[in-house]
Amino acid sequence: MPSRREFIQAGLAASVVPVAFPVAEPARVASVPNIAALSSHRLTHVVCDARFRCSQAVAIEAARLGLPVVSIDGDISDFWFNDLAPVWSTSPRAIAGLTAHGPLFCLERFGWDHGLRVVFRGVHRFEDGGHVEHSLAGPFRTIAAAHGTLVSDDWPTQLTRLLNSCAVTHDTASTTVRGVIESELERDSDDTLFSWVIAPKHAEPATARRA
Amino acid sequence: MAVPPGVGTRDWETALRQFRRAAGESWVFTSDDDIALYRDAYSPLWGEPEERLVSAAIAPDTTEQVSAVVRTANQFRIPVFPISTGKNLGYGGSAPNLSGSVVIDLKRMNRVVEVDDKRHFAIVEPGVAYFDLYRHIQERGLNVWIDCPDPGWGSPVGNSLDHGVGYTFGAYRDHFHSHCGLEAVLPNGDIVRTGMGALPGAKTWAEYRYGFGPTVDGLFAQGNLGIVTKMGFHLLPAPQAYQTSVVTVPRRRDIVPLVDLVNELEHQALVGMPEYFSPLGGFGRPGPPPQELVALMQRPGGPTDEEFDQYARERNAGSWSCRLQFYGSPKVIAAHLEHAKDRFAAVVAGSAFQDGELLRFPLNAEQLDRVHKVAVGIPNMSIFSIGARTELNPSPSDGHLWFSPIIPKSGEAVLEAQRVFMDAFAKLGMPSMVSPFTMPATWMHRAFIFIMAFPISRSNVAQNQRTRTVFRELVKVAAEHGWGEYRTAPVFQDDVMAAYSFNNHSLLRLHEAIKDAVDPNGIVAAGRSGIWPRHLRRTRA
Repeated sequence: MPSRREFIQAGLAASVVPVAFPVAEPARVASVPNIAALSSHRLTHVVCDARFRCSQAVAIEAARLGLPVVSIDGDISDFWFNDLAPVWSTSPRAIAGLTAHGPLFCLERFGWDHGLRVVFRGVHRFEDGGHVEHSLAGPFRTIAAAHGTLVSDDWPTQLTRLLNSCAVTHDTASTTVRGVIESELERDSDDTLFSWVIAPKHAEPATARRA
Repeated sequence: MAVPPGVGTRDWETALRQFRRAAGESWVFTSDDDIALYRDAYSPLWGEPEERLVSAAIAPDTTEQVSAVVRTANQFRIPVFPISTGKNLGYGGSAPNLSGSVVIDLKRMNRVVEVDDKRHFAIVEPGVAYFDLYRHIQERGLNVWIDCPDPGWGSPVGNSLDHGVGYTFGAYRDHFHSHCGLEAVLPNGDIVRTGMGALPGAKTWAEYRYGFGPTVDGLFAQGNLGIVTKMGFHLLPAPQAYQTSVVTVPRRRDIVPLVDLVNELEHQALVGMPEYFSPLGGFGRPGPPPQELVALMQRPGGPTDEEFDQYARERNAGSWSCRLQFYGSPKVIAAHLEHAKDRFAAVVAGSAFQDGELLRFPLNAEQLDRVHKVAVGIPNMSIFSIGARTELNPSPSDGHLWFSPIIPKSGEAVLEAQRVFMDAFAKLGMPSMVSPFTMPATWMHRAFIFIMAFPISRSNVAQNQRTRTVFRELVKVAAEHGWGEYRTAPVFQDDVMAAYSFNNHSLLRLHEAIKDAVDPNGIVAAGRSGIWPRHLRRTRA
């Protein structure tokens, strides 16, 4: 079936070097399982909502990290039908993204049907004056790492690394970080954007579990 | 761990063991994290004590497992609430009418039993989504279309049992009408098949719907007499081509012949689903309405038909339009379109057609991008990419609630509904969701749905309470004019059923008599469509 998807990775793959990404407290974070380190939880797709420049920045960094990037325009139909459903029907794997609410709403519910959950959720509200408020909830160490990384104006890049290193643990936390936004990204959207990681709810590789 | 209402802790623990034996250890869910997934994402009771929540969920894989689960539920009088894919958003999602019910989640029952592209039917289980059935057809190159609603993640079984609707031809887009035969587990665990399916070895289960004797299928739609585990559906043979054409009429009163003529074309099966709109737009669309229109609307008594016509002439616009959809071979489409133009030329002076491109199947990528996918039988999720914040809907991501009164399929009825609901909103002190340009949804083959979407908030309880009050008032207003809702969320089902009150609610009394006979313990979907089991009738209805 024809698709509207644009894979950003294609044009960038030549320069991609997989990076073991350091977060705020590298020694501590390195000691816990994370998606980048666990092959069963490796991100199979990073979803870019191409309507938003912040999300495009995430796609560029994800591609630089060697992650498969899929571009949508808010509509997940082709991505779901052609890519994700065939994978999740046999082996549900972790995905991440920075999107508007609609794509997350749909993907989260599709994930539920396959034994996956949103294990990290960030709400990014754009404020006047070049600020952005990041409200984050997820694994404790991932949240802790966010404090040192999302305050700068290259937060979409830092966020991508955070998503890729998201540690899947039972202890969770939430926080709010107020940061700045690059001038060209300001007024990117009058909407709130959402970052997320959807991953198997159990540490072991998931089967086609449905609840 | 939550315990269902009216069930003792020891019985509950025994029942859970039996549920696990029936469906498998890993398919009975009682943790808070798991059962939270069954909240109605668009609940108008979100976060309030009255929100409808579940106590557990079970995901059986076969009809026999469903039967075993139901037998246990009946033994311990545990209320159960079946869902297929649980995506009935705007009408209740996967949440039950009775808090504490155990959801029987049928998603694992996702087998496409049969698709025949010579006799044009399918038989599917309830966990089959529109996407799944479409994939099955595409992968095998079968020459049939499905008719699907906007979000493709729903289930043909679940959607049809909720009287859901689609976008192609009349007989197919009324999804329960297009069903043919079903299998259901009764509250005592017995398994029944209807129509030809009742005949062992039947060769026409999904083709001849009546079998022999009284037809009971309708009792399982919006009903609570059993759990449907298979359904047959008639499918549309794949057309060779598709074309749209928009007909526009100049005057406000032309809405009457416009609807009459489109009815004639549609009921003769010359066109698929028509889509009405007003080129004048303004109210009800994103962004503020034009100032001239606001001034016109604010005049005492409102504008006359002549003033509306003058407004349209000044903008060189028509008053009403309808997008007609033609399916078939290019020759058939050309003939039907020519006939439509002839009829309008003869009846409505000044009517004009704007033809779309003739599209031959299969469509290329560029054509697919332009076409309304559900109109050509392609399931998708694009509806969720729309979420514009408006004055009336400050939190679009929190969801909405559908108010769906059925009105006659006539221009006069549309104008009356506009007036009645605009007046109602004014009396209720709320910004109107209806304008003099609001047109109804046309999913129903033989009636209009004058549909409105009320925004829901997850953070503003007062707004939700206000919405519920307004919603209930509109149910009454509609009933006073002979209009009833075709479908609604659990929280309003008692209100809507109460409006269907002919002869001292004789229909509800019949439903209750059947409910008491078939489900004496009242375990299946208590309260669905306002039909409560005897032991809850006095306190709940």
